[in-house]
Amino acid sequence: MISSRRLIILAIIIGLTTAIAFTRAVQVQVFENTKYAAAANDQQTETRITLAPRGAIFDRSGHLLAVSNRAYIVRVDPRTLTDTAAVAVALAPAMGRPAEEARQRIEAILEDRKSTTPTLSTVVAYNVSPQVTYQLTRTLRSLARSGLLVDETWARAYPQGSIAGPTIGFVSLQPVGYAGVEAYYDSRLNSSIGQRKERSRLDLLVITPTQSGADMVLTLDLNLQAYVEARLAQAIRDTGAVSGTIIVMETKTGAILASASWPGYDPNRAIELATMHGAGLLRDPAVNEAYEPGSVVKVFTIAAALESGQVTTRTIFTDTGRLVVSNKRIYNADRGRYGRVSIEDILARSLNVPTAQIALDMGEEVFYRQLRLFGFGSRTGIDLGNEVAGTLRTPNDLEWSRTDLATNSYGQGMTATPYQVINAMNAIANDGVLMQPYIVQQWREPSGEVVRKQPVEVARVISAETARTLRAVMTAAARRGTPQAFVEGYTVAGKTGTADWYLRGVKQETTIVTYAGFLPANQPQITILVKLDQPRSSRWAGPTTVPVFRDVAERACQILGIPPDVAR
Amino acid sequence: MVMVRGWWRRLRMLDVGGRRAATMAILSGALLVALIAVWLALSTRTALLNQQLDELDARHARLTAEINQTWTEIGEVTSPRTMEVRARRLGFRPAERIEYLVVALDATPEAAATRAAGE
Repeated sequence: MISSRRLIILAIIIGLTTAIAFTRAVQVQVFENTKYAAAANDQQTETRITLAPRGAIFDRSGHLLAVSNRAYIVRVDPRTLTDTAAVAVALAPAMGRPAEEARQRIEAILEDRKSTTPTLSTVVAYNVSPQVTYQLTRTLRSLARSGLLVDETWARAYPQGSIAGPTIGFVSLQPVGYAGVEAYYDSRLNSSIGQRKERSRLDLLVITPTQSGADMVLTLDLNLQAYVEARLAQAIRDTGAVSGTIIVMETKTGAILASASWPGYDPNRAIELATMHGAGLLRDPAVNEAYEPGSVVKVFTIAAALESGQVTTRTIFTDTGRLVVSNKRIYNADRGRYGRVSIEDILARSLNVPTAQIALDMGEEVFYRQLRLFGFGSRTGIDLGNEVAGTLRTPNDLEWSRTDLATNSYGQGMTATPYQVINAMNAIANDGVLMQPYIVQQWREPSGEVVRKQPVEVARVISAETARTLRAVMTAAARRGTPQAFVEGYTVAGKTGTADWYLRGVKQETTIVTYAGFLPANQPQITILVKLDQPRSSRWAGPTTVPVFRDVAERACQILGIPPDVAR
Repeated sequence: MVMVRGWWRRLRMLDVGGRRAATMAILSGALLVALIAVWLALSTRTALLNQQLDELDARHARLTAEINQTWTEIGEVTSPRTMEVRARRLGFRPAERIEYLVVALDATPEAAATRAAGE
């Protein structure tokens, strides 16, 4: 017989238990309903991500420069990995290393991750080809039990290797574009991620189709590009320079026909190179680095003087061989004194003193307005990643002085990228119209729509008449000063530039040399810039850059079918 | 069976004609069967389409991969460096210089004919 007291206690216990269960049920069902519903939904729903390839990149004739191929990423899962040695033997071809090295690498990665993320899987091989992956899966029948996980992906491939590497740029594994065209057009080249969400085969919730990225057609000519790169490499060998750049531009449009930088890199190995040597190696100095252009700028000083009416081709100056501006003494490069000189003499002999005098007489307002119009101190707007603007101090800057006016007139105390220099030179070739340089001429959207880019005229910087006059002066000056620049059958106009090389603010013995010019001088079709850094064979632009300019100009005329003067 | 008989009896006891009730019951049953059939057909269709979509997705990805792989191979064999090696192997050499043949306009056969006609 159970006592009533015990019955009461039992009832209280049952009542309390029921109350607790009820309270919890209310909490879960009512107050935390959203959270648990979402968790249940997540558990029951399967989401599959689908990836489409990034858009391809072609040169102007349809040669393939970049494409995304089917590839695989292999990860090691430390929770299920048991036999590292066996896995290393199977993985060796995928990692491109001997088995022993692969084992050491896997163990090193796992050891490294032990302190931070010991249970997370780690990538040990990426961009593995389907053939190697197939072999790998055959060797290790059950990948999950072997401790390996394999993911399907699209890997970027550059079939031309290092040709135009810095201009095209590269992509990371994500994939995100770094440098060059890949960076500038990253969002357009990238594919959109597709998604399929389903609760079961009968309950399809969401389908978001994936879309490939747009295919790009560049203005580059692969044959010319290959030649220019080979010629630059030879120039580096011949002169002992540490680096260099050559750019070839179509005068009328601003389209870039070739752009080579030394040292370049093979974008197929970019991730490996960035890991080993840092991303600094993967820059394109043509667009990412500014330098002191030197005497090339004299052309723009003379252009400003001609445009403002301050000088004519008949004006005669007196070169005293020395000029003092705010306690700074300015000399000609060879310390010579040339007496009565014309603007043709100034360009032919590359005289600093009369050029500085012209700028001082012109005044800072006219001089800097003209230099700004030519594009110095601001980005050209070229469609390449991470372009820098260079520096040009003007009277509005606190640090500016009249000395700057004098030194800037012959290209010192200011910096510009090779693209800024060639674009300014191109304005003279293009009858005074500054173009926006560009490297992508058209792209095809995934919908099939083809978008063609039109050449962009930035501004008229000098009159057509001034441009024609200056071209004639430059041609005559080049004939006297740098006759080696002339290609047989073509008239050439151009200007050398030599600037001192500074290392951490300290002037060095070596120089940076440039030659920028165009041809045929009377009806310009192409503008070319050659720049070499710290050549050892000579510290002057004439013997180092001019022969390179000539060879590139000759080959460009052949490849592009530019007829000689006599046939036009 | 007993339950069905009971239900049928109660239905007949309602204040509606027996025939009418029977018709309603048959129609309801038919409607139910039709709905089940439609649901099954739709589910099967959805499952089939889902399967087809999967296959088409996979096929599309495979074809894209094949196209891109073919492009890559064409790109590699037509690259200037490969072409140069092949051309040299075949005995070609780069041209030292290109000569342009300038044809004077009055030297063409048409110009000569016009000139002769004029004379």
